[in-house]
Amino acid sequence: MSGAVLAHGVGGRQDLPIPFGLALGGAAAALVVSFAVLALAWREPRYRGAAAGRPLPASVATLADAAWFRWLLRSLGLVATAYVLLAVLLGPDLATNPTAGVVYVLLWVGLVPASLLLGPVWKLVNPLRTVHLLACRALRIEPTEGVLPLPARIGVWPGAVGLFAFVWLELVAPDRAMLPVLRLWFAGLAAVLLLGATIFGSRWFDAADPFEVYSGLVARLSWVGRRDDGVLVARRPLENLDSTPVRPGLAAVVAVLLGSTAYDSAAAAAWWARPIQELPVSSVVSGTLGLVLWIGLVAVTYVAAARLAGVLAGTPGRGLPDLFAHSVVPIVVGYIFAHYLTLLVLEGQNTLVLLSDPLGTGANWLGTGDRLVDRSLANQPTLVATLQVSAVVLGHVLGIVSAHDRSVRLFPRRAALVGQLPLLAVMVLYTVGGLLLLFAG
Amino acid sequence: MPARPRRRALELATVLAATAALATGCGGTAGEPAVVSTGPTESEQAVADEEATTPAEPTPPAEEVDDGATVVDVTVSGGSVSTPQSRVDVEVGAPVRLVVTSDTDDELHVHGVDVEQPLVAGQPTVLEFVPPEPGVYDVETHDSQLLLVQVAAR
Repeated sequence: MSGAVLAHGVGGRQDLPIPFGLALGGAAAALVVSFAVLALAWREPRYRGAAAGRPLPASVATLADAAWFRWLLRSLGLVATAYVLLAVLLGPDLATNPTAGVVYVLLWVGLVPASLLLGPVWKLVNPLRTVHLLACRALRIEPTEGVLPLPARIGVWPGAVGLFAFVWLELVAPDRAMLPVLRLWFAGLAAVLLLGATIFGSRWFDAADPFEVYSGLVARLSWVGRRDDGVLVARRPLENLDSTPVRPGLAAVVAVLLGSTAYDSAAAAAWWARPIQELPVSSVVSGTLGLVLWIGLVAVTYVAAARLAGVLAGTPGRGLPDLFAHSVVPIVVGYIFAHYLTLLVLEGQNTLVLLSDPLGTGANWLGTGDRLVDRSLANQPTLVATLQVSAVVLGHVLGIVSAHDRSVRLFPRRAALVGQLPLLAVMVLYTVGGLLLLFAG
Repeated sequence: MPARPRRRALELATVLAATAALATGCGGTAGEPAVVSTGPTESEQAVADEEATTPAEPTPPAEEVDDGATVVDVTVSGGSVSTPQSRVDVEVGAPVRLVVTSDTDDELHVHGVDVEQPLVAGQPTVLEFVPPEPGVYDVETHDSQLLLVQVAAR
C-alpha cells in the first residue's frame, strides 16, 4: 500500500471496493474464457518466442542501437538521479519532499507502463549500471568481465531477493516514507549492486537489480523485443512473452510480485488490518509475517500446480515452475494495474508537482510547482472499478493463453490438455482471489 | 511513518488550534483539547465513559443524527479497537462525525482529508470531516498506529 505508506507521505484516500456484480461478472468471464481456451485453442505450439518478430524500420533500429543514443539515455538516467538526490540528501524530511513519491509511485509503479510501452527501460537508464560502466572505462576494464563467473544456477534469484527487500520496504518497514530509511535502503542496494558487478561483471545487474528484473520481465509483455539474431523487432505481446529467458528464480520473482501486491490489498482493508493490529507483536513483525504469508501462498500454490502439471502430463520436472512462470506475468501486470491505477495517476501528478521544489525552498525549477492535480479519476469510481476488473480479467486471459501454448509445447500431445488443468486452476484462483480482494478492499 | 507525519501533525495541529481559536474568538479554555466541532456534552461524556469501561456492551450502529451527519463511535482500549462496523458507508459531501474515546493519549488522523486531532486519554474527542471525493478514508491513530475505522464515501 503505497496507498497507506503515502497516505502519510503523499496521498491518502484509497479506491472504493469494486461492486459485487462487477466482481462476480469478472470471475465468471475469467472462468468461461479459461475453459473456452482449453477446449478451442490450438493444439500445436504457435509462439516462437525469440525467433519471431518483424524487424523495426532501419531508421528506428539504427537510432535505438546508436552509441550516442545509448549514452543520451544513460545521461538522462544520471541527471534524473542526481536531481532526485538533491531532495534525498538536502531536502527537508517533510511530506512535501518528493522522494517517497518518486520511489514508490514514479519508479516502482511507473516502471510497469513504461516497460509495457517501451521495453526494458530501466536497463537503459539505470544509473548504477552507468556508474559501473564509467568506472570500468576509467580503469580500462571490460564491464562484462568480472573476477568470477556468475553460475547459471543463480539465475534471477538475487533479483527475487532484491524485490522482496523492496516490497518489504514499501509495505512493512517502519518510517518507510522518511528520508533516513530511504537513504539507508538505497545505499544498501547501491553497495550490493556495485560490489556484485565488480565481482561478476555487469551481468550482475541483469540478475540482481530488482528494478531491472521487474522492468525486464514486464517488457516481455510489450510489443518490442530483440530477435535471436540481434535484430530489434516488433512482436505480438504474447509471442514476446514467450521469449522470456527461463532462468532459475523466475517463479520466485513472479511470486514476490503477485504475493506482495495481494498482501498490500489485504493489509489496506479493515478485515485484515484490524485483527492483525490486535496481535501482541509489533507491526514490523506482523507485517513481515503477513507479507511472507501472502508471497508464500502464491509460491506454494504455483509451484504445486506446475509440478502437478508435469505429473499429470507424464513429464514431471523440477524446472517446470520456471518454465511456466512467464505465463503468470500478465496476471501480475493486470492486478498491479488494477491495484495502482489511481495511485499512479493521482500521486504521480502530485509527485511531479513536488519535484519542482526538491529542496523545499519554494522554488519552481520544473515549472510544475503550481500545477493543480487533476483528480477527475477519483470522481469516477465506476470507471475505475470497470478498468480494474477489465485489467484483471484481461491479464487472466493472456495468462491462460500463454500457459496453454507452453503446455502444448512441453507436454506430449495427448496429455497437454490434462497437464494444463492445474495451472488453469491456480490462475483462476489468483484471478478470483484478486477480484475478491478488490471487492473486500 | 510516524516521524514525518508527526512533524506534519504538529504543523497541522498548530493550524487547527489557530483556526479553532479564531473561530471561537480566541477563546480556548486551558486544559481543553482544541476541537474543531462541538465537543460532547456531559451526558454524552458519561455515556462514552460507560462504553469505555464496558466494551462488551453492544454499541449502537452508525446513525444519522438530526443535522445529517453520520456519527461513528469508536473506543480504543488496551490497543484494541471497537466500532459498530469496521467500514462505514457514507455519501460524498455529507459530514461524518467521529466520536473517539481512547485509553491513552494519541493523535487522531483521517487520511486523505488532512484532519487531525489530539486524543486525550479517557476523554471523548469529536472530529468531523466531509469526504471530498469518492474513496475509502482510513481513520487512524498516529502513535499507536491503529486503524480505527474506514469511511467509504460514494
